[in-house]
Formats: sequence, structure tokens, C-alpha cells
Amino acid sequence: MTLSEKIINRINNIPTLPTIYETLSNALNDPKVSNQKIAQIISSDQSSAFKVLKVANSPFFGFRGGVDTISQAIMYLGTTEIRNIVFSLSIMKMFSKEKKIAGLSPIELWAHSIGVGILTRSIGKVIAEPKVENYFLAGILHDIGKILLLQFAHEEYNEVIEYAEKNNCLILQAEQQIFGFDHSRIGYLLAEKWRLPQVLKDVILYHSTGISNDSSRNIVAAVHIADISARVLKFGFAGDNLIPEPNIKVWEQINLPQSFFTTNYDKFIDDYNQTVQTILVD
Amino acid sequence: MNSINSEVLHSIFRFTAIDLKSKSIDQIVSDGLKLFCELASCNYSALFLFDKNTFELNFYSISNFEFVGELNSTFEKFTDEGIISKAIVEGEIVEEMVVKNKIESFFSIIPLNVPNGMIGIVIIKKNSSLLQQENLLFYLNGFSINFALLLDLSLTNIAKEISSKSNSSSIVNEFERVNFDYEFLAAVLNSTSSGIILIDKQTTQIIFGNEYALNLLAVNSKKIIGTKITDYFLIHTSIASSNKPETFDGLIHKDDGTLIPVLMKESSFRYENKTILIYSFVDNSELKRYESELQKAHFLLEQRVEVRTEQLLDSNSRLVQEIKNRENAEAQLLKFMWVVEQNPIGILILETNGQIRYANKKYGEIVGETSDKILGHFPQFFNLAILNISKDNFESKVSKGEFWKSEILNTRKGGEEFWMSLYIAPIADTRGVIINYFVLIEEITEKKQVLDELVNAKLNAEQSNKFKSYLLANMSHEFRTPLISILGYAQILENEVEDDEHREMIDVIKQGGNRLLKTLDGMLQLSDIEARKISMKPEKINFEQIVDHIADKYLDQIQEKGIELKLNVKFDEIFFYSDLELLQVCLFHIFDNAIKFTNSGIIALGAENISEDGVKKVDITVSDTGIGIEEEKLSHILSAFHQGDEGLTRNYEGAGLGLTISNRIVELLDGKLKIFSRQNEGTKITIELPIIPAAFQQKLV
Repeated sequence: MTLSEKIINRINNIPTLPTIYETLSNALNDPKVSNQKIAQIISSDQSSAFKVLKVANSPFFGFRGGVDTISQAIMYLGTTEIRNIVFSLSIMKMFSKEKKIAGLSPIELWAHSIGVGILTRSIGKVIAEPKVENYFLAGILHDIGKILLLQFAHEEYNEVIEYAEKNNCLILQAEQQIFGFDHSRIGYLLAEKWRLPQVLKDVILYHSTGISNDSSRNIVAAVHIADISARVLKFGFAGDNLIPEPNIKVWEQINLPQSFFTTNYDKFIDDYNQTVQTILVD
Repeated sequence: MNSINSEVLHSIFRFTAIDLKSKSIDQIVSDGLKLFCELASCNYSALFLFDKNTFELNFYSISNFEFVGELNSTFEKFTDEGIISKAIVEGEIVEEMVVKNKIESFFSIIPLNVPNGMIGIVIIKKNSSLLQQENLLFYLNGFSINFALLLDLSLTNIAKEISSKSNSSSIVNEFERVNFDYEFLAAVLNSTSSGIILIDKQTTQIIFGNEYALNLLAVNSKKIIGTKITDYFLIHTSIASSNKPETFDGLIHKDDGTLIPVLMKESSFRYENKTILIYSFVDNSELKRYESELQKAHFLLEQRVEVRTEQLLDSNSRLVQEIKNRENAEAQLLKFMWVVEQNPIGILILETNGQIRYANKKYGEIVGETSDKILGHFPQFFNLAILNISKDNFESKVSKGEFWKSEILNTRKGGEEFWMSLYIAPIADTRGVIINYFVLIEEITEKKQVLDELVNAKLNAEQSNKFKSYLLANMSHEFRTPLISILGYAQILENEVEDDEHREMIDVIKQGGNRLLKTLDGMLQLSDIEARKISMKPEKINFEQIVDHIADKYLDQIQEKGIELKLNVKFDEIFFYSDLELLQVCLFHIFDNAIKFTNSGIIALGAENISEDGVKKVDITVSDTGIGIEEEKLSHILSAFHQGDEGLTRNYEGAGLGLTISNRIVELLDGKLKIFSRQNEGTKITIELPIIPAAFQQKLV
């Protein structure tokens, strides 16, 4: 068994999709389901319901302290966004935050993902995407492969980090060098197993190039730009200190306003700080 | 250079902070060198100070005076080899290995640099090891930073003074001041209950962390120097760089994955050409936890409020509905009460003992009592004994839930008697136990009177009708007998008289007599029929025989008038039972009329068996092309003494009894007589008869 096979085999034993996400998704598939019912499902776990509320109240989602109950949160943000927040939180809860290796801790990686989520959603809003509910979740999930490797190939991943540091290369390249595959592949396997929507699978698989097919074109491009921006803004730590050049085609496709980063700089940092606090601190 | 041991730096601070009052300057320096020795685990360390006047390095002190000799020879050797000057010129630490008697020993020549220039060197002898090698770097840095930050240039002066070894008291004073500054600063930084980290803005490396910071970050003091703030803080700190002096939330992440929220503040100061960033922070986790608990409590409360609100809304809507229902019921009740109160029938509700619990207005009127004499009193009629005497036993009726009714003669208050109808029904509870009686009372005195009169009137009418029939039957005979004599003698006279004029007169008498006789016969027949004197004999009708009789009787007349007689009968298909004689009489009357009112054309007789709605019947039709009957007269043509053409201008004789008699006969025979007619076009009379008349059915069986 090769190293990569071993790792993939290990990853096959990963936990199943958080039940609350499945329950929520099933409930939401019923067109007649009431917001009250959804609120009930979320509220069944009070501590996570409270956290959902905290996130909904964070300035990033635009309701600074104005949301008091889950039903209100659903009313303001919509069921899909709320479901995605629930999902994001439950995934982060699933994986250990303790397994720190050489220079990378899960916490820093999650912080990076939160940063990417914030930037992706902000980009989505600017490029006039009508449905940005999936954009934050896309940012949260884009590096899920790294989280998995950190968790299930702990020893081997140490090598990857060291290799990246020594050779001053992207962690993606180091993964390919050492494993023969990279985190996007592993993340995709998980997404398949969890039967996530196609757009999210595409985000996980294609965020490093930024190029995807029509249905997920914008979201993948947004994550690609957000990923690089998060590195520039030093949001968390993605495993290496390099800042890859954005795909020029994707950059042109997204066509952000020139002043996008300068005018929003303070807001991004504020949003990032607040959201990291809200999500990561128990 | 990337990891500077803070402990060493610390030690240097401690070295310079030795209490000058209790020790001589020599002692202080000697103590410091000993400390270095310990920390670097070396054989000895020695300090040479630079004399700016002579440009010479002068030995000042050594950690262990045993090695002074060796130091001197080594120093001379290093000087000769240019190693000392190399260290001074390059401003960097120089490592040298000396082999003596095959024993390797290692020396570090450390220049003490301050921004204004050299102040001296430290020479250290040690048995090499990597770790120690590293530590040496710390010395260099430690000395440099220490001197740069705290000793400032004054130390150069001190060094100068020390080198000349003159005016020692002023040196001590100056040294005292400087060390007091540092002592104060270090004491302040370490005693403060907030973390403080100093960062060289240019290199972004941490150059100092106080005790609180080290504790909170769980970092060894050796490790923090040279690391970066992002290694410990998850929160983006550059928020403070955009001129935001206020505190902000920071987040420390430890290696074990725990997170500590802190409240941070960033400030900076310039020292020489460097910018030093100062981050101070305090553990905020306690506060955050309380905040979170508070929010949680708030959330739970809101959640409960929401649930409760829903429940309240729900029960409220139910309450509203109930109120509505009640209002409706009350309105309904009010209506019923009104109906009861205003009812033209007296209504009572009685207790089971007969006491009046409720009485409406009418009851008071009927019995002539005021309401205060009614409620709680017993009504006169309610005497169980009396009630039970009546033909329906009261108790047995009401105990079964049925009503009891009767008519009773009662006495009003003034003594006036009156009749009333009583209707008493039980009111039972849910278990079926009788709890009240419900009584309806109607005054029927007038009704009773009217009814009596009506009965009398009916009796009178029946009487007089009987009398009329009787009179008619008898009177007819009374008329008939003399009329027969008149006609008989007129016949005799006709034969006797020869005079035409007389014969004509007799003819008039005969005609008048015959007409009168016919009318009388008709009246007799009618009265017989109305008095039901005729008894019917059912038999199977031979219609051919009837036609023969009609032909015998009327053929001459018909031919005389030039009218055609048409027969639409298939005799072998006609089958029914009836009274032959009555049917014949009926048909004769119809034919009489048909011939009488038809002057030309056809008289047709038809008969057929038909089946209508499954009932078998026979239709006998007589139609003519005579003068017909006016539409408005058709409806009463069947009454007695009626003829189409009425009044004095009658063109046709006859009292018009024919149709009346025919109609009565058909009724007797269980059939129906129908007339269809149009003036000047003709008349069609249909007799609809059952195959077997109901009255005959039993007789036939």
C-alpha cells in the first residue's frame, strides 16, 4: 500500500456528515416546512443554537445584536444561510483543534478559512451574485482537505510543512511532492462522501486555479481571489507564507472595483477579528 | 539571530540592576561576570573596557581570578593574531578555538557596542557545545540591547571613568541613577498585571516580554525573543496601525489549542532610529465568559419568551373564540328569552313540586295575576291528583320523557271561568333525572265556542241537504204522476181531435210535457245518484251491445239531421268491467248533447284499452263537430243546470243536466270525465275508466 493509499484509506473512516446538517437539509427539502420547525431543529441543541445566534449577530452578517431568537435569525438571514452557519459550526466542532504540527495548528487554519469565508462573501456581494448564502460556507470548506490531512495524516503532514518551509514553496506543491496528491483531492473525497452540493465540491476541487464550469464559475473564482487576499491580509495561517499570484483570467472575470480592498480594509479586519472571536472562542 | 533567549537578556538586566549601595563597583562587575559564567556554563568570563584616550583595552575584571594568568596570555595571543581588533571593527562576536596540550578550548570575544561606539569586550572561555554557542549570541544581543535601551550613552562615560579609575564616587552616582531607571522600569513592567510585549517594528521580532506575557502565552522566556506576534495571536493586530488608539479584542492561541481572549492596546515609541511597538494586554477570558453566559441566559430567556408568546397567542385566540361563542350564545339566549317572554302562549317553568320558577307575560294575563303572586306560588291546575285522574296518566307520561296534554276549565282571579289547553313536558338533566316541568298554556274559550258553532253549522247543513234530496225525490214523483196523466190524455186527445189547430195545440202540450218529463227524470236520476240510491252491478262490458243500443236509440235522429256517425272501435279488443246500465245512461246523455248541438258534420264514438304509467284503463271518446263551448264556461260546465248557451236567448232546449249526470256517474264508476272544446269547431268528451273499478274489485273476486 502506497503512502497515498494509506492516507486515503484512513480518511475513509472519517466521521459522517454532521446529523444536524442532514436533518436541516431534509427539512428544508420539504417546501411546506415552516420557519418555526427549522428553528425548533436548530434550537434542539441549545449551545450550538446560541452560537448560531452569536454568528448571526456578528457585524459581518449585518445584525449587530439585533437578533434575539433563532426564528428571527431565520427571518433575517434566510433558512439556507442559517443552515450553512449551523453546518460551518458543526464541522469546526468535529475536528480537533489541538493537533498542532511544526508550524501549523488547526486553529490557524480555521482562522484562515474564516477569513476566506468573509472575503468570499464580500466579493460575492460586490460581483452582484444574487445568492451569496453559499459563499461563506465555501470559504469555510475550501481547505477542508488540509484539516483532514492534519487530523488523519498528522505525522506525514509534518513532513509536508517542513518541505514547504525548506523549499519555500506552496503547501499544495509540497503535498503533491510528498503524497502524490494534494488537499483539494482529499477534500473532494470528503465532499463526495458527504454528498455536498456540486458548487461546494467544485470550490474544494478548483479553488487553487479558480477555474470551474458555468454553474460554479463565480463562487470558485471568488474563493480563489479570497484565498490569496486572506494570505495578503495575514488572516490566520494556511500552512505556508507564500502569496501565490492570482489567476489573471479569474481576476479579470471577477473584475473587482479598483478600490475594493483599500476602502474595505478596515471592515475586513474588523469582520475577521469579530467572526474569529465569535466562532472559535467557546 | 532569529531566536534570542530572553532569559539571558533578563539576566543582563539583573546584572545591571544589582544594588550599588551594598556593593562596590568591582564587586558588581565581578558578580555579573560570574552570572554570565553560570548561564553560559563556561570556565570564566572577563571584561575589558575601552579607553578612548589611549585607544587601548584595559582588563577590568574576571569571574574567577585563578585564570587571570591564562587570560592574559590568551588576550595577548588574540591581540597579536588580530582577533580582538577583528571583533572590534566588525562589531560582531568572534569565536576562537585554542588547542593547548591537545586540549581544545573555545573562546568567545564579544564586543560591547552601543550606538555611539565601542565600550569594551567580554572574553569568555568555555568547553564548546552547540547550545552554548547559541547562548553566546544571546550575550551579544543582550548586552547590545541592554546598553542601548537602558544604559544609554552614560555608560560610555562610566566606562571611561572606570578605565581611568579616578573620581570613583561620581561614577557610582551616575551608575546609581541609570540603574535606578532600569530597576524602576523592569520592576514596573514585571509587576504590572498586564502582559507587555516589545517589538522591533522593522524586523517585526519580539524583543521583550514581561512575566505576565510569558505566563499567558505559556512561552519559555528563552523562546519568545525573536519570534513574531502572529505566532501567538490569532487576531489581526494591524487594526491598531490605522490610528485606532482604543483597545481592541485580541485572541491568544496556545500550542495546546486553547484560546484566550485578551483586551489589547498598541502603542509605540521611537528610540534612536528604531520604532518599538508596545503591545499590552490583559486576560479577558473571564469577562468574555461572563458576557457569553449573559448572552446565553438572554438567548434562553428570549427562546422561552418566544415559546411562551406563541402559547399565549394560541390561548388568546382560543379565548377570543370562546368569548365570541359565548356572546353568540348569549345573543341567541336573549332572542329565545324574548320569544318566550313575548309569546302569545303562556309559558311556565315549574319545580318538580309544582312551584312556579318562571312565568312569561302571557301567563299572567291568562290567569289575571300580577307577577309577584305568580313566582314561587303554585298554579291552580297543578294538582297531581287531578292531573292523574285525566285519561292520560300524567306521571306515567312525563316519567317516560313524553308530554302530557289536556284541556281544563279554570277560574280566573275574578271568578270568571275559562277553558285552557295544557301542555306539560319534563325537563331532564344529563342523567335523565327530571328537574323541572315545562308548561304551555293557551286560553281556548273562544276557540271552543267557535268550534261548537262550526259543528252545529255543519250538522245543520247536512240536515238541510238531506232534506233537499228527499224533497227532490218526492217532489219529482209528485210532478211526474200528474205529468204522465197530462201526456197520456194529450195522446188520447191527439187521436180524437181532427181540427189541425187543436192538434197543433195538443202537440205543444206534448212537447212541453215531454221536456218537463225529461227534466224531471234527469233530476230524479241526479238525486238518486247524490243520495247514493243507485246500486251498481259490475259485469264484463260488451261494448258492441252498448253501440247497438245507441244506434237503436239515435240512428233515426242522426240520419234525420244529416249527420254522419263514425265508429272507431275494435270490439274484440275492448275489455273492462263496469256497470252497464249506468255507463249506458252516461253515454246516452253525452249523445243527447252531441246530437242536440251538432247540425252538420260528424259524431264519432271511439273506445280503446290503454296503459298509462302501468295502470290499465279504457278510454271512451265521443266527439262532434257542433257549436262547441266557450273557453270560460268549460270550467263550470259540469255543474248542475248548466248549458253552454245561457240566458233567455237559448237556442237549444234542455236543462243542461246531462253533463252533470254523466260526470257524477263517471265518478261513481271510478273514472274521470274530460271535456275538450273549441267554440264553433266542436266538442270532445273522453270518459276514462279503470279496467275494474275499485268498488267492484272485491265483489268480482
